[in-house]
Amino acid sequence: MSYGTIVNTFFKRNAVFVTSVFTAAFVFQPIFDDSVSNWYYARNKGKLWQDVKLKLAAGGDDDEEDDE
Amino acid sequence: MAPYTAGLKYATGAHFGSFTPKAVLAYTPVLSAWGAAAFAGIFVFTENWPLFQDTFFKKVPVLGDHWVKEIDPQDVPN
Repeated sequence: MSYGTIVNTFFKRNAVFVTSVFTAAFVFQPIFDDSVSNWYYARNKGKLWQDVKLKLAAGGDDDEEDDE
Repeated sequence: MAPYTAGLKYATGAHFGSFTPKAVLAYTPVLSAWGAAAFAGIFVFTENWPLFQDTFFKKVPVLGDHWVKEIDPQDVPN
């Protein structure tokens, strides 16, 4: 797609330009949110409640008493 | 030979205020594009509104899963 095509398709009519900006914003919101969340979950894997809960359910909650 | 009539025959075209059929037709594509822009804007700014999420956004084909929050019932505070 040449630069002229992009200009004529998206930039020439302001109504079309505004529509494409808002549509892109609407699509970007959930994608960016999910991407950041997935990165956060991956980076903190094992420390979050969703992982700790599984450990507790498996009977790992008596760690503190073993040390004493 | 055409019969003689005095003066010019003026006629006003169909109009509603300053709106004529020709002008309305000419503006229709732009105005509908602005309508689409308005809807897209409403969707952007109501993205976090639960009523809109339940009514519209959860039903969007690919992105819809983003707004579906499944929380384990035992993690919900009473």
